[in-house]
Amino acid sequence: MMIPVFILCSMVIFLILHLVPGNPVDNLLHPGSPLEAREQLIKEYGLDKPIYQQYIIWLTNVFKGNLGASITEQRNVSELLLLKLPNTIALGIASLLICFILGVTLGAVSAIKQNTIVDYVGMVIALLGVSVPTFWLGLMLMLIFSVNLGWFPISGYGDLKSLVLPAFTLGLAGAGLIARITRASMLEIAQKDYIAIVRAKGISNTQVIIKHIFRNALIPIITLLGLRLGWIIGGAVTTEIVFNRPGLGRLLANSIFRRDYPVIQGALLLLIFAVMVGNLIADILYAYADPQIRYN
Amino acid sequence: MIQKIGGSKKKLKLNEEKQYIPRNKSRIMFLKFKKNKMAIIGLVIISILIFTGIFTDFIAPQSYREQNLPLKNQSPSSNFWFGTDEFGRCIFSRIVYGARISLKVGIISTGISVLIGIIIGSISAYYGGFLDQILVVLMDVMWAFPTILLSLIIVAIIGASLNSVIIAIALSYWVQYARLIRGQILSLKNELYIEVTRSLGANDSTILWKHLLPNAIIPVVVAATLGMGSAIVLEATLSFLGMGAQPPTPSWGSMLSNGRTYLFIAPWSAIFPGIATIITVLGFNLLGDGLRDIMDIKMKE
Amino acid sequence: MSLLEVNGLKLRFYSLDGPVEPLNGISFQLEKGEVLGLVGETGCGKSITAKSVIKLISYSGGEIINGSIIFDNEDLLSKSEKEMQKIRGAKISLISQDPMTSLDPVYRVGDQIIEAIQVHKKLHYKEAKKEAVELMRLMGIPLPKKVFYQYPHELSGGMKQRIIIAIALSCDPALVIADEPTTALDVTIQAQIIDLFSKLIEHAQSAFLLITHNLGVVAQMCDSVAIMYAGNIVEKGPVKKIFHSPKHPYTEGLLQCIPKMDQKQKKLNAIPGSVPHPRNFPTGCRFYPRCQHAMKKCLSQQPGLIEIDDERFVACFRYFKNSDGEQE
Repeated sequence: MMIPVFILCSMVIFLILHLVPGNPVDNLLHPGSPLEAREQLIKEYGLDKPIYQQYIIWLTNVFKGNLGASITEQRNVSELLLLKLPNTIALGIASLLICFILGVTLGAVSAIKQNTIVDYVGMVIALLGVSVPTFWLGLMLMLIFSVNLGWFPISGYGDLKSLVLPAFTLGLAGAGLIARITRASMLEIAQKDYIAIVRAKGISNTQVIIKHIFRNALIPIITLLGLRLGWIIGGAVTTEIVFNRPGLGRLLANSIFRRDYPVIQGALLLLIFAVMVGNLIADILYAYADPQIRYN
Repeated sequence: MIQKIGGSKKKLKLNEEKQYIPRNKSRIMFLKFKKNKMAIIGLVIISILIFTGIFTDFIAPQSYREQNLPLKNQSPSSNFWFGTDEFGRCIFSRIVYGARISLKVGIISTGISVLIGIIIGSISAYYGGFLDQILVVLMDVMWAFPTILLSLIIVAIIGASLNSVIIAIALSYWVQYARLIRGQILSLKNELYIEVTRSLGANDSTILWKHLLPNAIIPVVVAATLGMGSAIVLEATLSFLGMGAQPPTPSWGSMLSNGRTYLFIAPWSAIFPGIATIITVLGFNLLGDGLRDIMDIKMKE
Repeated sequence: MSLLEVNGLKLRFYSLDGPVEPLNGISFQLEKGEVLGLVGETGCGKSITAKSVIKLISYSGGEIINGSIIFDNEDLLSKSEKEMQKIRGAKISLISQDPMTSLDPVYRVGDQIIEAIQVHKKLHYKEAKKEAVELMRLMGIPLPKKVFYQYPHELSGGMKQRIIIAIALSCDPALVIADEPTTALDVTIQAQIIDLFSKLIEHAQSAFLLITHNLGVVAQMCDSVAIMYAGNIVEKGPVKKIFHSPKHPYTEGLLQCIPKMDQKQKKLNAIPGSVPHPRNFPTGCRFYPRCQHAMKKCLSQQPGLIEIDDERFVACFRYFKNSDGEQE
């Protein structure tokens, strides 16, 4: 199922170069490049051949690891990507953790104290989380914690301290949605027949909540997290720009501004691949959580 | 019967009039009140927004482009309620004009999205078969793809401007509406009355338009209300990245982009547009949630 | 001293449209080892009664506003939630209606049986597992050691119900409340489970509160029966006597509804009308709108339960005697 999706996406990505106004050759070159460079490119990419052949050539190159050379920087695309990838992965994992932990806790507490002030406040916070633009949250966090309090650096990368604010920005923004889903899911599970039976066994309420209600409620939450991977990658783009972190997201955005098409294509391919891997991981987790899926 | 997780610990509680008001009853009343209140707050916010958008020229004390360089980067005062930006422009006025832009973006992009979604969704559901399968794959792929990246690409191809942002947003968000419509039509498709209508001689498009769509529309309205909030956030993000409204157009997103440069000496230029955006999106979300609750109640009847 | 004595139990539920009181002060008793059937149509309040006895009703949004529940000489209503948790599963256990949805889908079946054993008997996993496997064998589950490790969705309805019964019996409770244990099953499986129940009643020392609308099951397994209608108990007493000569019009109607195998019937008998919704309970006797023998009195007053015979109670004005000892 995923392979045809990847093929489809790769076709679209390939077509970008041809959809953009201007001659593909010109778009791949520095202005004022010598004629020989032009000739070489045409040969390399087969730009004088029919379009489907160009696609095959391009795709073959991709699988060989040759993603072309960046127009604006003097490097290979693959080099650039590998350089920036770890930063983005770090941000992704950290924010996912924060998002999950904060969101699930908020949602669970709201569900347990349903219809009390705690629930009300909790859901208002969650609603705010959904309504706030990620980048604004980043700016505000920066303002409070970097500028005024000086606890964390404004920008930079590489160490744990510089990861905190960006991770919290992205994590908080997603936590709102997770909280809402957690609350709804737990309330729905609490109505199920088997929960009444479990209670009738004389199990303490804490155990009922943690062992049975929460455990069952996790299933739709994990599903949702899997689907939201695309969102996290998107959010990483803006967060990286706000905090000046040199990751994939910022690379992609910059390359779009500068019309550095090889980089755009390479970064997009990598991102699609990452989304697919993420979905796969989510599927595995989902199968682990729901025995009914596991055995079918 | 509603199962509670926490359970009630006390049975009865006395108040001054010596009536027994058990906790259960007050919880239910609280819930009812809260739900209505939230939706009304949402409605109020949106009404204020629309009002501001229409009567912009009367509300804003100054034009959004009127520069006054000697007064630049002033903190909020009685002359300039929200302070001034780096060109000495009144931030309050710019935010008021920005409301119009946000409304424009929200309504137009969501409108186009919904239209695309309805068309593709209904075709996919009604005709089924291979066409449906391809469209479903297309929808799944687009759904998984990060929205920001998609709109960035579109803007990169078309060129940066407010209109391209509107188009980009419209093309990014149609999937959820298509899915909704498709789901609704698929479930309604099997209803008996379709057969009856067909046996009375109506042709395909009549069936589609007169019978299926009106029922399927309601969840779309809810989704569209929530979607307008998302559209406004996306526009703000794209403008923040420089891909949207170009200066001097006072889109809240581009104001935030400017404000970022001066964040440390004049933070108000970033704070206020952000708050305006949040309140607006909050309004749409509240309204959308309220509509969804009403819809749930109607479905249960 | 009775094992379980419920007196004047009244419930209240709160909803967005106002409060509802589905139980109107019901009373019944259960002796040690006795099997009491609680019969009534859907919506008369049987399941709610079952849940209320072990005070699980608050989790469904309900509240006990009147009455008393005395179990084994202890007042259950005054007990805290923690104290009730010691009783649930250990002294009183519950078998619920629909086996397809009564087991937690993410845990293995054996672990679900063990859960109660570990909490109440405080056994280690290995010992608890031994007991569970033995219990499963008693329930007629083939290859119990293998089934122990299976998930609910891998088992059939009948098997699931056996697991649920095993859970209920795991800690040797003094009272087992079975809420329509056969209703949701296929007819052939029903027969098997009824068989199992008969055996259990014979051999186990627990008392059973059997909630059902199946009169056949009552006839087969119960010692005494209480008939419920619209939140009231309208007749109760020993099974044989009631089936032989029912006194309350509703009981008469119920018994007449059963198709008779040895007689030719052109039409199936039915009681005209339908069970009233708790919001629309009639004033006066709640069976009045459907009763053939209705009198003027029945419209305005509710009859309470009176003893008309040794161990027999009816709630019907036809059997009320005035102060002179004459029937009214």
